[in-house]
Amino acid sequence: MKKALRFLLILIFLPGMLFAAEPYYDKGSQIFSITAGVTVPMMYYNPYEEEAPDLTFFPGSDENTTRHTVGGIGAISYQVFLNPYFAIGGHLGFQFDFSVSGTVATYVPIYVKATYVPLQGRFEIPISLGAGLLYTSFNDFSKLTFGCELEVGARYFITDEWGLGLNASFHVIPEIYSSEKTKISTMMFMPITLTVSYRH
Amino acid sequence: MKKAILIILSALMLLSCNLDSSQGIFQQIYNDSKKDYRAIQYVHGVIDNKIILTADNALYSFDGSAMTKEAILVGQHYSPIFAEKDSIYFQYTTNDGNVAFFSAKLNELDPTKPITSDFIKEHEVTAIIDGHDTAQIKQITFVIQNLDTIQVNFSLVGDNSAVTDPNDKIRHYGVVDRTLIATDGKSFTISNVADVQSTFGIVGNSALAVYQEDSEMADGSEYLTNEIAFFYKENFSDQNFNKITVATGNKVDADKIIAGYDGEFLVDMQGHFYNIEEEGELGRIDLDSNDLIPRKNNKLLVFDDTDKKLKIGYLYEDGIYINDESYKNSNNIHEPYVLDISIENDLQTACWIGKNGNKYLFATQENGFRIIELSDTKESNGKYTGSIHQYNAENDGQLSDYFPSST
Repeated sequence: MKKALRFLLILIFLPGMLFAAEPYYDKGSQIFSITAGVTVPMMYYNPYEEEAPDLTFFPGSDENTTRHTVGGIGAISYQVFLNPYFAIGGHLGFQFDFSVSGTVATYVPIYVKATYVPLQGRFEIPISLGAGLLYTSFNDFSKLTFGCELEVGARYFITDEWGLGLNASFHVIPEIYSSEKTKISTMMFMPITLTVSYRH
Repeated sequence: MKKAILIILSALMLLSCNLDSSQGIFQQIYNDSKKDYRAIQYVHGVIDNKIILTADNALYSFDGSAMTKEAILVGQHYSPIFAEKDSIYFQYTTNDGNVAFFSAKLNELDPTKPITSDFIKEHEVTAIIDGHDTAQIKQITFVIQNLDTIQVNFSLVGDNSAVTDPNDKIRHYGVVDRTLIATDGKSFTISNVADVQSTFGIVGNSALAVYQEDSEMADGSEYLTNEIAFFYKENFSDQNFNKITVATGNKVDADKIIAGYDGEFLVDMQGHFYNIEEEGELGRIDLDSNDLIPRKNNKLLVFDDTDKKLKIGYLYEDGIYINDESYKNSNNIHEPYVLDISIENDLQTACWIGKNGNKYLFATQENGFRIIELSDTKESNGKYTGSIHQYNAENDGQLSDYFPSST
């Protein structure tokens, strides 16, 4: 287990070590991104409902699926570099999908987002972790809860300022209730997005 | 600082909690999908506390939680017309091109196979038509606007055979009273039959609209250039229709008859309601001067089944408008209910099922079974409001609570 973790960390940090000699960013550099794409429901964990399986997977309509459709996602983010490799900022998104009966479900994440850019310059590999509040609504009901997202991307800067990227992430949304535990369940999505970035 | 953030977050979480539901949002999404609604086309009646309906061109039953396929209809020469007691009644086309009937119980149907001609022969049903030869039915259309009444529009072999003037051509109107269906299920009666002009259309409970002598309410024309007539029965048992005539010269901008009942017809002209009463004048029903933009296919007829009083729901661009019968009495005007519905809640009404207190159950062409819940409390904007949501037995009561026989 320790070996595997060590290997994973090396894999993540290796590019940074290799290219660490000439970082592109300085403390105070800024990056603004607009993102759009699709989001795939990957897993639904619902431990308190007796008549349904605890774990269901992927889009679909039968009881072993999440019963969400593939949906859409859009987001904007703004980050400032704290040092040449780490940036921190905010992320505001909008995500939607449908239940099998065709009713829309919406999600608005408002996250704090931290990004590590081990490989940087013309071609970059950003790895981000976002977490914060998420507002979701369905039919006439709504709920403010928490969410977090781990994202890995690859982006290429066509000019010094403008770049295009492709990202994949895991977006986990636990629906938390303090007193009504039987309403607690967790949804996980996999957004796949295209990003336009502007850095300065 | 940390404490303040925690308090704000706790308050936000509490405020946003869905206190009315026993399910979380994700659980609602999962279970909403479980219903797996089909596009409902017609509601035929109730058997064993299940609503029998046509959806996605197949016969389904709905027991309050799920729709179950009961019979194949696509490509068949039969179609269901109504359901009563323990049987579903079908019409089919005979070899000589006329219409005949048979019935089947739910447990006699196979959702994977068409109904055989042997079964149809064994389960034939006789339709008795007051004053006419049943075997001569050439074409028949059943109109069911709620679970109480089944109105029928039919033609007979030999109708209009010697008539050359299109204005003299006739068809027939009648009513199948559910209470008069034979207990052995072998016959039903079409009563209160009246001969009417061939151009008539059923627009309400015992209410017909007939364009008189080539007249029409032409879209875009400013004034009626021809007389237009509407017909209605005061009571179901009346043999004849009363006639209301709207005279030439009345200002008309568009033609859409929304609804009719008893002695009144409602007409939509450029998004405003007009009523036509016995004196034959068009009267504007100024519903708070709302400029409603009507949707296509947008009428809802809601009958209070205890006293047959009418409420009318009317879909407009952003919502649903419901006003009750008291708007006719200027001394007792009840402001209409205004329900905002968003596009994802789009309604194409198939049938009104019934009511349970202030909750009205509809089968809709989209989104399955919906509840419209009216509130008698005026909102701060001065309007009576209500809400609309998907039927859920847990919160809205058992399905049978909405059936006419149980109210």
